[in-house]
Amino acid sequence: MIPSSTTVISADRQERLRQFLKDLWDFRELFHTFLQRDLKVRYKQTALGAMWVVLQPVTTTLAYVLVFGKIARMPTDGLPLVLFYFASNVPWNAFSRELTGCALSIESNAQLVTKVYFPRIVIPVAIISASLVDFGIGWVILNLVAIWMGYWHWQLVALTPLLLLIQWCMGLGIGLALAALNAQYRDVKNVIGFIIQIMMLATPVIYPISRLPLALQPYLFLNPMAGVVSAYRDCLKGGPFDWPLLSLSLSMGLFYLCIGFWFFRKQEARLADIL
Amino acid sequence: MSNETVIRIQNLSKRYRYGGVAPVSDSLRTDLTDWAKGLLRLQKEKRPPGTHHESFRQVQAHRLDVDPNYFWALRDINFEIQQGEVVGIIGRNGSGKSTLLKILSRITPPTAGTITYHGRVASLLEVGTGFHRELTGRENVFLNGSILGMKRAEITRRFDEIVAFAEVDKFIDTPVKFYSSGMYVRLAFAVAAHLEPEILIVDEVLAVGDAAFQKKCLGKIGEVAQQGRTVLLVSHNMSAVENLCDKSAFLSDGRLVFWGDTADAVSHYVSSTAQKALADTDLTSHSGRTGGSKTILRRLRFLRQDGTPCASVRLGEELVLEVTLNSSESIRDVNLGIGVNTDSGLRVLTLTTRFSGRAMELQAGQPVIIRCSVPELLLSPGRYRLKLVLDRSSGESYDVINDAATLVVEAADFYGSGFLPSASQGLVVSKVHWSLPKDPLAEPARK
Repeated sequence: MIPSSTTVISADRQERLRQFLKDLWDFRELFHTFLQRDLKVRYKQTALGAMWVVLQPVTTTLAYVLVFGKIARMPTDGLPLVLFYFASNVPWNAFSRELTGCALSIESNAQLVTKVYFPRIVIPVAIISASLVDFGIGWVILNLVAIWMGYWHWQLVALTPLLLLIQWCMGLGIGLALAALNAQYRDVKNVIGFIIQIMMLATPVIYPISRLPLALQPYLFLNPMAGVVSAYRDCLKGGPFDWPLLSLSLSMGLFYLCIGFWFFRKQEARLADIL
Repeated sequence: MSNETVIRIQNLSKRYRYGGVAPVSDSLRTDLTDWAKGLLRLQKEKRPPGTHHESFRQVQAHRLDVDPNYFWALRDINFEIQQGEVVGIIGRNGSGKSTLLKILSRITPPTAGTITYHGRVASLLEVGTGFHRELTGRENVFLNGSILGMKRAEITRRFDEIVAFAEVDKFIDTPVKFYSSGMYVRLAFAVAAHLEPEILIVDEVLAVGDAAFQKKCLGKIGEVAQQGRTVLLVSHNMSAVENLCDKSAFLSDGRLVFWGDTADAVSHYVSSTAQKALADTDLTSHSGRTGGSKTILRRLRFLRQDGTPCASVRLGEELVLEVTLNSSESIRDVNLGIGVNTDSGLRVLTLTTRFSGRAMELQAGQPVIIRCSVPELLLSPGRYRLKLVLDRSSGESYDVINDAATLVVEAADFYGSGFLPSASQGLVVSKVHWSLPKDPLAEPARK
């Protein structure tokens, strides 16, 4: 038998980083396995099954149309009510699911983390990837509704990869930090719903970005999702886009990702001891 | 068997913090200061990567380590394992076995030192890691297999074998939550049994379940070892270790006390844990009491037939075990069990009130004395460890004490022939009647 590879377990930091990169490659199949598990498990033992993926954004949109559109009479910057809320619900729902799933992922897999080794980052990344499916379905419906209502524009398709990248960076970045924090402080688990609620109010989901006081506008980039949500609406309007805001949002998203990744890596080795 | 080193453990130490973990802010602060120092180039020496091994002493010299909040679960462990060796890791609870296992399995990092190993490691700290109740048997085989480090192609190739081994073929597409516990464990073990790692790490927790299953587990370990793989087995079961392992490491208080031949390691272990034989043992604050136990068992005495206390008993004589119970709350349906184990952990005799068909009732605060009289003790001479169990008929335990006391059986002229039975002739003796042809030559010698 020829030993295939050499592994070094060490307290040394540089040694650990080298090993981490090697492990990511060695455990690439586990990513698929977790992704499959997360997708399969989500709608097991539900009567409507995958129908929920469609029902969720549709019902939320209808509720928003009724409450914020008809009752509160929120302005929509010229978009039909249904499109205005659908365009914000699809990315926001996906983001909030990513963030929640990510933040709780390590704790909900505690049984695995304390019993067997693999690069822990595989768990949250698989969860984020699984929620891409929900986003994809919502996005397709958004396109169909836009075509049907005569508001579809090629920019919606062209810009989506960029917007998705920003959303993904922010969701994974903050999600990783929260996941590592939640392993030690279960406070995260208790307040995650609250955090997302506050974040939603700070994001133009139920109101148009133009209604934000001018004094607050320069700080919008701190929340990259604000730029993402309003860019979807701009797509439907046929432009113009707030390019400075989008590029700042992307930088900020990458910044969050780096911070989240750094903090997660820092805590990763201790996870089994603190869970 | 080649003489190639597959696992090298150097200066390995692990420190834990009493009362849980340090707050995140502590480690963040250390990190930020380190980082700031780096920026200011206060750290003049850059270590070349890979050459650095902090030793236990170096870490200990660091100011944090005078901190009474920390303790060392492992201290400066050094040893090397050659390819194909089956190695036992033994020691009392809290000696560092599990920590060593966790570091080897990479679940937790060392505080100092290095482990280098060659090849794939599979560690079985439990069966069925990652099994998901909602998924089918088939899906779980793939999930569990890849968590344990198998490639998908490998699992596909061995899938039929795994299912056949587990004997669950009809139910393979049923969610495992509908499985009986037996099927569940069989399937989980089947996956583990078909791993093909170069190094297999097994915790004895694996050997839960019925005797047949334990035997299957241990048999599989022996089989793996014969294929030239390296196996590390952590166990309290000395007979399993003696049967399976070529070499053993004996840990005590986080230190490697002995490393070498299994027989020597076991004798180190046994002599370190042997208790002094006492006629009268106070059980109120006994160190062998298992977690979750209530303090009900208070005292254990060994008595002779005439009621006088004795620290040892002669083979074939009457032994009276006297147990004093006192419960702070009233409990019903109580059974007392006394397990007699050899030094290496083999159960030779179980004495339990359950066999009498009667259960007891304890009144709060009222001491009760139970006597168990064994008219003729037919155990071969040696030391035995007694385990005491107080439980309900339903199996729920009230109070359990491992190694509650040591019983010494002394050799005696049991057969009335001047011949003294010894442990090497078996663990039990029996009254025996021989019907023999007369041997005229032997006759005068016997008189």
